[in-house]
Parts: sequence; structure tokens; C-alpha cells
Amino acid sequence: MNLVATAYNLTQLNKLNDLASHVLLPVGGLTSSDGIDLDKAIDICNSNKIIPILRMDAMLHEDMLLDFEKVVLKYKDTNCLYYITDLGAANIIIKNSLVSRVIFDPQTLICNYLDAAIYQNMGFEAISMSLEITIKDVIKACNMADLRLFYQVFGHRLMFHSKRKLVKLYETKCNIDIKRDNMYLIEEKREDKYPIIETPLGTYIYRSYQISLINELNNLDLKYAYLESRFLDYDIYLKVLSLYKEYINKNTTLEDVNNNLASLCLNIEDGFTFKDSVYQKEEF
Amino acid sequence: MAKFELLAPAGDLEKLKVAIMYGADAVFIGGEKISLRSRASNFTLSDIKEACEFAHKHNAFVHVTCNIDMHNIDTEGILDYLKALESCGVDAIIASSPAILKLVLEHTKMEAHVSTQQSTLNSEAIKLFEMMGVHRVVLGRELSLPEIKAVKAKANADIEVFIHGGMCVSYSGRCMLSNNMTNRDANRGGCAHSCRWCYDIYDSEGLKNPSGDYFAMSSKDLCAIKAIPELIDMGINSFKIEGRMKSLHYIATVVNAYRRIIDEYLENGCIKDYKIYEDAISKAENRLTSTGFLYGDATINEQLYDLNLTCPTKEFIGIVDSYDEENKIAYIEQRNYFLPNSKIEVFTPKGSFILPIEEIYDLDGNVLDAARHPKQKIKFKCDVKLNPYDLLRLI
Repeated sequence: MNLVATAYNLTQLNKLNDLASHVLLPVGGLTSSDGIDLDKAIDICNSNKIIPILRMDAMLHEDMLLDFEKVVLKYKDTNCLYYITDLGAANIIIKNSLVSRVIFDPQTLICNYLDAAIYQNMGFEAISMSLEITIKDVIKACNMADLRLFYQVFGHRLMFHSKRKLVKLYETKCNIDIKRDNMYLIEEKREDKYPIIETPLGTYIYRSYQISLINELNNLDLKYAYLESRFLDYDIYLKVLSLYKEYINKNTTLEDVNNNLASLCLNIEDGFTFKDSVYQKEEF
Repeated sequence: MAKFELLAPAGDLEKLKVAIMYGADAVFIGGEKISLRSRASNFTLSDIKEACEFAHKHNAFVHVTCNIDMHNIDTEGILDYLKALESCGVDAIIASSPAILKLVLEHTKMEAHVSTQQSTLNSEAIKLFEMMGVHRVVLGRELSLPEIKAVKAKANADIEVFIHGGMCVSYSGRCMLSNNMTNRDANRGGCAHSCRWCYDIYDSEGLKNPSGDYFAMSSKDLCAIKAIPELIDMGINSFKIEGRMKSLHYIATVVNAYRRIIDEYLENGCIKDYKIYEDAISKAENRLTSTGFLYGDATINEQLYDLNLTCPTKEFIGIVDSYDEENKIAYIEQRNYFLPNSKIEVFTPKGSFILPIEEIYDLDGNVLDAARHPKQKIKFKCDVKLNPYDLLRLI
């Protein structure tokens, strides 16, 4: 099982050392954050023996295809992998005979073993299934489709992505200024705080809690276990990453890990791990 | 299929018939299985068979949506279901699941159409689907007219574009607000429309929305009336109206307006007055509309900040069942309260006219003081011949 970390700038990447085997590096203009200096980042990765994964998970419009392909080709002779969400991106990489270096993650779309098998058979290095299905469904799909699975096991999960710049539009409507750091939404009748960010590619809203699947790791036949650092203090994130690494390497017990996680005062919930969402048909 | 297909939604058999009578070249419906908008899915297999017979008799086609993101349990019996749809006469299946698309292509003779739930936005994604063998791709609604043109120019598969109706504020198929906030699965027909709720927005300084105002994400509905000529010129194959949950009156009104504008442009090469069609549509709309992303990125004009802002609708009061030519009596089914001795608007596939009505009767001939019961059968004297499926509106 490979641990995949995230680093959103070179400072974070330098702190990562070798806590993870792979790291997601944001590519400017092609993901939901500012880009990192890729050349420097890849040098750091090489020094620390971490495999870089170029994060290019934007929804690609026609005028973005060329820039996307340029990045793919620029780094094709490195050991990097490519993390994408768009099928057009997939086709470009397939055409360049690099499909075995792709991690394909269409976020919500792969929810069953039949679809998982079809995507897997396109030749991707790994695919990701929806986090909005139960762990039981994921395990079944893995078994039946013989998946090479990339799966988010920790952190805030993306739950909404719009092309509209909703914060900017609201500022315009109300003639106010909203600082772009530490933004969150609270729904009128709920207490949850939903982190929200806005980039040139649109608006992203995340779950209010972090998911943590440490207790399920032994049941999940994961090739890549992805831990997201967004909205967390990076030093705390590194502690979480370290705990996961120690557990995977059998240097600690599950009990110790859970005790240590609890001491970090994170906002962890199960999400859909054990409880499926309601299929409308059942209600009526 | 028609060169420029007008594709209308239908939540039940009656709406399907009305959609076709009012000008749709094709209709899309949901069955009892694996369809989004489960509350609109009133089509049993027997209904679907009747729907296909009616549609084909009127040179129209039927597409069935199988567009949920199936969980493992939902995959059971899927091939049998698809074959049953084929035996009913269904012409095409709309799906986002590549597994369903593959089953359609390999085991049936129906067309496979890629749902907008895949959020297909570029020509490379279309090529991937073309390699699978799909016949048509429904584009995501985040594309501008130039983008649609660029994508269409490189496509071999037919391209279908939404022209009217509700818009997801998120990329379609990628929104889990409803799932996370209510446990209702948006990708299996249960969307709670959490994007239309009221939110406070905070930044590092605290609460930012002005007192009494809420941060909102809701989108106005799409209305592409003025883009129709350009879309036709691009060669877009199908123009899709959203709204399987919409009323019969809405479907008839919107379908007919787009039918007429498409026909006018094909006949004359230009549109004399868009306002005619905008006014026609406004008789049925209930949400404000905008042009979405067609002319560029969304501005505040594309957002719906006040959910109380709705357009008044012409009140739909009845549908014509039949007309006795000999005795000059119209038989109608009531759909809203109305009174005798009034003027009403008769809305037909060919146009509208004002009709004064005098006394109204039940089927036993008893004079009524009002048509007050839903679906009550009513008759009245009428010198003008009315046709089945003509709709009646209050003025």
C-alpha cells in the first residue's frame, strides 16, 4: 500500500521528507489551487525518494486541452504519475501512450464494480471510487473488478465543484469584500462549517468533517491511500501521516493510532463508510 | 431522427403525448429503474410500450434515461431491464455509466447516448466515447456557444445541447451537497437541492453576508431562445428541454415555443421577433431564466438570489378531451378552478385564440357554478372546433 500525501507549496513539500511514498503536486491552472514550482518540487521529490503525482484534476474545457498536453509531455520522461478527473484528459494521455501512469479519479462517478472494471480496463495505473458509497461496496468492487484502487483515507472531502465563482458573484451582488482565506459556509438550519474556496476554475466546497479510514485499512486492498492536507495545520497533518505510515509498516497498533489521532482533536466522522445514502426510489 | 431534433421531457404518459402534439421530435422519459428524477418516473414497461407506439405513430422517438450512478446493488437485472425496454420499442438509452452504455451497444439495437451527468466538456472526451461506439453525447451546460461550436466541429457522434430548464449550479454528476447534508443521493434521483438553501458565509474576520441576506448558490433556469439560430448553424443535432418533473402545461408551452422558433429559422433563415417566443414561454415559467454560460462565464444575472422571485404563470385550467362537431360541444378535463361566463385562452399546437364561454355543465348536463374539482369532466357549448390536447388558460 502506497501512502499519498499532498503538498501545496515547497515549504510543505520539504517538511514531508519521506513520510509518504507519493505526493500530489498541484499544477497551476489545471487544479483547484495555485500551482507549485514543478521543476523544484520534482527535484525535492527525487532527493527524498518520493514519487511525484502531478495533480491536474480540473474539468477541462476545449481551450485547456493544449496546456494540459504540454504539461504531460514536459514531464513524461520523469517518474511522475498523472492525477486526473476528466475523460478528455484521459484520452490525451492514452494517445501519448502514457496511460499506465494515470490515476483516474472522477470523484463521484464510479460507484459500482461494473463501471470500475470498464475504467480499469482502459489501462490506468489506478482508479478511484466514490467516497459516497459504503466501504462494503468499495471492497466488493475491488474484488470483483480486481481494482488497482486509489482512495482517500483521510482529510476533508470535496463535495461540490462549480464553474461559477460564487463568492465573487456574491461580493458583486452585495458590494462587500470577502477575504479568501479560511472561508466557510454555515447552512441556515445546520451547525456544520463547510470550507469553501474559489479559484479561477470555480468554486469548491468541502465536507465539514474529515474522513479517517485507519480502522478499515486492512479490509481495503488499496494500492494508493491518499491523505488530504487541505484545511489542516500542516504540522498536524504530518503527525497524521506519520501515524498512518507507522501503522501500515506494522510499527504500531490500531489502538495507539486511534489514541494519538484523538489527541489531535480532529473533526472526524464516518461519512458514508458504513451507511449508504438513500436511493429516492425506496422512499416512494 | 429529425435533422434538428427538439427533445422534450415527459414525466408521465399524458405529458409525453402532449409534448409530441405540441411539437417535440423526441421525448425522454424515466422508467421505474435506474433513472434520476425518480419521483417523475411513472412509466411502467406497459406505459413505455404505449408511449413508443404513440410516439412512433407521430414520427417521434423515445429515449429512456438510465442515468443514475449505480451502486453495486442497482446493477442487478440491468441487462434484462435494457432488453425489456428494447422490446417496448425504445429508441435510445441515456446513461452516464459506461457499463450501461456498453450493455446497450453490445446487447441491443437501441442507441447509446452519454448523459450530461458525465459533464462532457471537450472534444477529447467525446472521442473516447466515440471509440466506445456511442451515438450521441449530451454536453455539459458549462459551455459557451464558441466552445460548443469548437467541440461540435471535431465530433463524429451526434451532439445534444440543453436549451431550456433547470441548471445544476455544480458540474452535473459531481455534486454531493445533498448526500452530505441530507443523506439523499443526488446521483440516484434524490437531490434535495441544497444549492438553493440559505447560507451564511464567513472568512477570517467573521460573518460576511449583510444582515438579512444570505449567500446563495441557486441558478436561474436556462433559456436559449436567442441562441437557437446559432446552434442550428453549428449543426447541433438535438435541442433538449429539461423538466421531467414539470407540469403538462409547462411542457406544452415551452416545447411549442421552441418548435415554432426552430421552424421559423429553418424556413426563413432569420427570426423576426424573439419577443413572441419569450412572451409565449413566460406563460408557463415559474423560475427566472438566463442564458447560462452560453455567452460567457456566469455573472450575477445568471444567479437566483431571491428564491421568492418567480414569474407569474398563466393559470392552466383544462385540457380538451374531445369535441362533438354535430352539437358543437367541447368536453374538457378541469385542471384548475375556473368560473363560467368568462373569456379563456385556448392554446393549441398551432397557436392561441380567445374563447368566450358561457355556461358550463357536468357530463349529466347539470349546470355548474364553477369548475372546482381536480380532473372534473366538464362540457360547454363552443362554436369553434377544439381538438384533443388543446389546453385552456385563464386570461
